[in-house]
Amino acid sequence: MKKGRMTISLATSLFLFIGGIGWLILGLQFPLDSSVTSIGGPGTFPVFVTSVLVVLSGILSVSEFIKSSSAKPSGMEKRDITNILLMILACTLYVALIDLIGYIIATALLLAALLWLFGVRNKVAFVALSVVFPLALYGLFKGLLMIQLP
Amino acid sequence: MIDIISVFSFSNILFNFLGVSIGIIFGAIPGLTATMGVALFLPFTFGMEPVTAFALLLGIYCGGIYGGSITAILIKTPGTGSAAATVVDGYPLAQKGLAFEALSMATIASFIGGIFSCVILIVLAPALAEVALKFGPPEYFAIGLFGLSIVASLTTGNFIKGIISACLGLLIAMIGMDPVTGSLRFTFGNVEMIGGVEFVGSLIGLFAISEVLIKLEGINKSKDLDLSTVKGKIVSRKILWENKFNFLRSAIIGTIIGIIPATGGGMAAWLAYNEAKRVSKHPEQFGQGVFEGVAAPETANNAVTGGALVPLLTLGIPGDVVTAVLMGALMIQGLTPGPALFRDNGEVVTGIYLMMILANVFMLLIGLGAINIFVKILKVPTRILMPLVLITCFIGAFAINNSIFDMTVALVLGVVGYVLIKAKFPLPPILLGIILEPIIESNFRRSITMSQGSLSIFLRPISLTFILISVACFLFPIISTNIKRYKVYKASKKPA
Repeated sequence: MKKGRMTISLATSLFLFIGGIGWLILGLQFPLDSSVTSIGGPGTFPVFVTSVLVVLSGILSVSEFIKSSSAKPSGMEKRDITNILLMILACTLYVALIDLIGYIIATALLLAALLWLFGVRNKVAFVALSVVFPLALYGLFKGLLMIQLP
Repeated sequence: MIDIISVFSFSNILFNFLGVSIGIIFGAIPGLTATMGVALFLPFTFGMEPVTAFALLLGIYCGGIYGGSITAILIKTPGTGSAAATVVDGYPLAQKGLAFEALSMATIASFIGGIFSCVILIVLAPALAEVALKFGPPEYFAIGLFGLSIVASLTTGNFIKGIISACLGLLIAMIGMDPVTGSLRFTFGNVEMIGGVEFVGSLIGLFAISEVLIKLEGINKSKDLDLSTVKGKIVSRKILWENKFNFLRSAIIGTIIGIIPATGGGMAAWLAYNEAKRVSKHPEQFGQGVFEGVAAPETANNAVTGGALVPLLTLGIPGDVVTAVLMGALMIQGLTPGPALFRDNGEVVTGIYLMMILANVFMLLIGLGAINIFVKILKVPTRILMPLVLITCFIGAFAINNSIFDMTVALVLGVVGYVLIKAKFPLPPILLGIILEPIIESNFRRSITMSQGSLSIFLRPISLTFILISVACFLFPIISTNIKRYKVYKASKKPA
């Protein structure tokens, strides 16, 4: 059999299969029965849905494995993958630090990072947007909509 | 007595106009959608009066569905999936030098479809709400199941992936407190998860943040929209009159599609286009630039808007993905869809009707009078727009409950959504799973308790009907795929 490549679809199916089994085990910890009936407890739906998930993702994993032998490369360049990972990292740091350093500074820094990742190199646009947009949003939410920001 | 005059307050009119304008921009720019627009601006409605909130959001909805036709006609790139059918004849018309006529036809057709569906909404919704009074837990369970089954059967591409997506949505909705016993499920000891996963944060992550990630991936290959100023005149009255039956037929198709849960403008547009071509005296001209080919899909896709509100307001079942997001608006305003909404909040329902009609009027005026202003706005580069959208996503997710945890949920689901898109899993079933799970589970368990464990309670006429239709919808893709495979096999076995 021709060796297949690990496609995103195959990896996701396998992840869902393994995750589904884990979720099913967690779901079995809840009672399936209620005080009145043998089904209808808090565990009924989680067990049913995770069982369906495990079965279907198992079938999908097999199907994707068979297809993977003729799969073509995803077409994602290394630069794209790096940019995606950097964006996720920047957003994670933003969520983690926004309460510590405050909304305006955190948002200005994140916006600057995102504009850079998206390829904005015009210095005027870069600085203006990074400073003006967070302030504008701050004014809109706090001043006009009376919604507190971090 | 409902005060209709107060519905047309300055703030309601202003927000409705803003909503339509924002919606047209979101609809026109490929990669931004009406769903994203409504999701993004949903948190802004937190402090608003209910009618004002819906004035804004319904404006974005109507404008967003229409807006896709602009780039569909001008540059052969539909701004939204609903406008894909408009490309077929819209772009050739533009190439013939009739861009403004095509755009004006799209505008007028969208207006007609939108107004028709508003009338149906006003007539049908109260009647359906009365029927819904007869519904008990078995009927609501069956309808919830029906909504989910439609999603599964209509998922284009891989049916199994559609069901898996729906399962993920159901499981996400199960996080938190069990609705019947109050026990905690899948919270892992985290206090913030007791209330479950915040709905608005989930949809911002799934539909907006994931899209920004997709855009970042393709940013080096993408080109900014190359749009030039549009000149011409409005489509003639003669052509409009020739399309009168086309408008009516397409409006009916769109409204019916909108009423069926979990469908949408894209399906309505293609169905209407195919019907228009089928009954046309010159079907061979379709695809080469005929006005019927623009009128049909644009009437149908905007007719979905009113139709989709019918099941949302009466049963709490969204008619399409955007109305699924509008469920969030109802939640934020503390409104429960169903007969109680019509009985206890009649003025809000009237406000919704009137704001839908007003949104269609604004859409007509802007589409006919200000299209070149919007063409200028569409020239803002994606590389500047996407970071601003992402920041707005995070702040929007935070604003609902003033919670950093909701921002975390939005980010996590955004990454999950991105991976699922890359793996070709559909996202709308996840959203519908999240919305329908409480309806399905709690009503199932209530029914079982009422019947002391007997499943015969689901044999009641209405619930049985919907359950049978649901089973058919789940089985239909499997059966039709196997029939197709059998036919291919038989054809291959025939002697040459």
